[in-house]
Amino acid sequence: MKFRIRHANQAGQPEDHSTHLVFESDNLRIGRHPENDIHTDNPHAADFHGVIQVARDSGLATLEALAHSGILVNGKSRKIATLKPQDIVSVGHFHLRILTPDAEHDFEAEVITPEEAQAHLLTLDQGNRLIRWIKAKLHQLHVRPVAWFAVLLTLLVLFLIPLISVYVPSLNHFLKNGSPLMRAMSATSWSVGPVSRYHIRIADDCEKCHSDGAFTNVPDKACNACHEDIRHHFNIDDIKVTGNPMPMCGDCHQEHIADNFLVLGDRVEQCLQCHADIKKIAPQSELQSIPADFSGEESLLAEKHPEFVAAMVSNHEEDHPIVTRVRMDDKEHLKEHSGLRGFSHKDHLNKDGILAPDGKGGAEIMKLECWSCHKPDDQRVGMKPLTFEDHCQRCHKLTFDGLAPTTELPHGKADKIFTFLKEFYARSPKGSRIDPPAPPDKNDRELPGRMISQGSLDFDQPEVTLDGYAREMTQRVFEKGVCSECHEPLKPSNDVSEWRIVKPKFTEKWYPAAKFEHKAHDLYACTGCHKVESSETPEDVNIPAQASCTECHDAGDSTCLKCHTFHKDPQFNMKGTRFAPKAEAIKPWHGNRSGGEPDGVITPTPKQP
Amino acid sequence: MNRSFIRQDQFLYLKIALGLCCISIFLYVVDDPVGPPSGNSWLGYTLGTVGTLIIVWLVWFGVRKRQYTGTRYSLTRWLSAHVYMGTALLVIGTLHCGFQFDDNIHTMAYILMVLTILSGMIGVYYYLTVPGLISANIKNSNAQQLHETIDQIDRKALEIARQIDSHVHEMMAYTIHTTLKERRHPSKKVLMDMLRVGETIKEASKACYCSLTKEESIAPSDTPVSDLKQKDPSDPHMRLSAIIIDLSFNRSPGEKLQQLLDLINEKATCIHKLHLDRVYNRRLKIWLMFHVPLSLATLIALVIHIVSVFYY
Repeated sequence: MKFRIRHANQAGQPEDHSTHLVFESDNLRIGRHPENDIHTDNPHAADFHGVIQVARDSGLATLEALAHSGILVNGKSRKIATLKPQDIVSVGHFHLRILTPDAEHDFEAEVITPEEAQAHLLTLDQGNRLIRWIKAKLHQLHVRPVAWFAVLLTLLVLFLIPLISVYVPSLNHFLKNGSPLMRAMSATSWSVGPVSRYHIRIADDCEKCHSDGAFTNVPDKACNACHEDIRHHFNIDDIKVTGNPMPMCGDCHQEHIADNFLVLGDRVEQCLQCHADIKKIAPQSELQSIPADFSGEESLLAEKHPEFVAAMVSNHEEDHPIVTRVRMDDKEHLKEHSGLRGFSHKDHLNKDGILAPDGKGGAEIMKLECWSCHKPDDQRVGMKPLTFEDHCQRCHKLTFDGLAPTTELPHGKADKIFTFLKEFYARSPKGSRIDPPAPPDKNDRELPGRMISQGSLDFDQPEVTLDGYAREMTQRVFEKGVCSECHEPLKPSNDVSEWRIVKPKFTEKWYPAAKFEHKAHDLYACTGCHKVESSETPEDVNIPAQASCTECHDAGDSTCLKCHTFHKDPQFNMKGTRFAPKAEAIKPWHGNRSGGEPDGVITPTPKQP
Repeated sequence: MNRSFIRQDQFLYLKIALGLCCISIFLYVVDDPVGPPSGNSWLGYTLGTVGTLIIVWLVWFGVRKRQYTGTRYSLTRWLSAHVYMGTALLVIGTLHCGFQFDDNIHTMAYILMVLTILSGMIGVYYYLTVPGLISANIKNSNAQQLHETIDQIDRKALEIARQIDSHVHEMMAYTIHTTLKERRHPSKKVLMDMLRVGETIKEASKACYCSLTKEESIAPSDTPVSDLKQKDPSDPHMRLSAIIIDLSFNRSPGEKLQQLLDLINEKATCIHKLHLDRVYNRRLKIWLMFHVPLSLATLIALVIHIVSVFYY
């Protein structure tokens, strides 16, 4: 076997064959000992470090390490390795590069410098080179590039990606459906807080509300675009305001605070901007001004809140009720003219009880409570309306003639009474006489059903006719008996058949613009607020006044909006556009009707009486 | 380590930071904002402004640290205030957001701020402990000198090993090769191997000594000499032990072997010191790798947070 070892050429120098070593032996030994073929004085080399052999048949060179620590081939320790051209064999600082042997030699290699070996090793394996490069860079890493990287990464994650996802919906969709970290990079990640549930459908569409661009408030027009029917605060036909006192929507409504939060609850100062001197802002307003020092401090509400003003129905001749505003402390005018008479809460709530139906003569006593007549409505906000048939007729029967003690006049049909009586007596037996009603028994109760006729007709008498008798009885039931027990009769100017009663009209909403719920006050007894134990006439107004409410509610825990409604005008929306006529807006407000106006809004009247 | 930055000016900056925290907490408790507490109230804006100023000032510490000319306030004072105000920021920032967290960049900014503060707390611990450990480890020396010492030991050890036996030399060359790598790229495993070689030689040396002087072995009973030979012969440590034992029986270990053992022990000590020095210094470097980038990321996030809040 012929082994040739040569020294690497210097760059630009011709090959110097005199430096070549040629061995003819079975193998080539490398080590520190002088007996080796390649003898190196490198202190790291073992005496006999390794041996290279070449197979005769295949010509493959094999390296076997004699040192137990192995021998480095291409930088890796090997016990045995098959050598190929360009492999690097290293013993300490001694490096051999394997070459392709020429025809004369079986093995050829060249001695190279450590620098060459290092450079050569780097070119051997790209993967390893990259890893080595990364490792080297990591080892040399300084704070500054890492800091720059952090800055750029922050800009990317918190600024660029959210910005891009605004314009790339697919990216936004992908991010929105990902982990919390991904959601924090979506288009809405700049949102300062959760969108309230009321706007959740447009939560992803920022421009819907923020329509005026950057660094500006949400304009009212953005709100009005959807909420076009939101009611104005006041009727701009009736009340001309000076200046521009209306706050922007955003002054009271704030988004991105909480899931269930949209209205800034207590902004007394906001309300006081106008209501501290309402005449200055709206000279035509009849509202009372609120003291400018009205604030949320405890107990001040009772002292400084103006007395409540009731909205009472005050006319009864027309279908369209006239509403009069009366302060609750104005006792002289605080009387309800409902058209009813004779009713006494005091008598009905007598602690000893009252005569039960059919209990004439004190035979049977029953005790009434408030809830015997007044039942809460389905929402337990107000009370169901009372009706004669359901609440009165059981005791107060409309009987009118002893000859027919079970026959009652029709209720609520004054124009039919004459006809009813005429038909009734037409069917009556002859020979009856008309007797005046008996004087009331002291044990008898005053009921509408007192018999005003105890006789029978006698049409043989020339002065008695069916028509005349019916007319007489009609006059009696309206003027002296059944109807007039509870109602104000309206005497006709001409024919007796035109007897009528004053149509009863009750005030259903005493404080139409106020919010009140009975269910929130379930804990308290009715008479705690409604002082009805001493009420003897239907004129009494038993609605609580300011003093009653402020016993519990002070400004500390009760905000303006706790009781007051802001968007309450039925005529105009916030843009100042008049609403199209709607059924509920033009419907006459009759007392004793169920429902009433939504939101407690009263139908405005063109003129005050 | 100089602990003066903790006690600077009789804890003046600690008192300021505590005062700031107390005021913030008091205002947070007494404030009754409309809606839940958040940054969107007068207190939220106030705390946010204070927090922003503190963050900018804290980051400015990086600039101040590089100003080597004398200024009115010493670097120690700056550091003391930096540490305490940074900790106070944790309270102020949390109260500013009113404990409202969501999937948005504001919470991300908050998280970055908290990470920065926490890394700062780790940094305080490191700077209170690590410099002392470094000094105690290499005393008046430094890493470069340790490297040079190890090079000298290697040269001596190889020379002595060659004089003893070719196998010992081979073994020594191997350990030098591995520790060369260890000195460039720290690896605890390699260091432990190195130390084990030393220990193995020590034990073998004791056995050798005993066999020479015909004394009873004082080697641990669980590592009798005979066992050493029976273990895996390819294990370099075992082979070395076997060589030394052979030498003992041949009555020719002599002074050279003892010198070699001394050199190995000395080298192991040096490498251990070097390793610890590297660990300590790396600890500080890695800490800085986190704290400084996190600080700058927090600053950027803060700017984005402020812009986004006022954008809409």
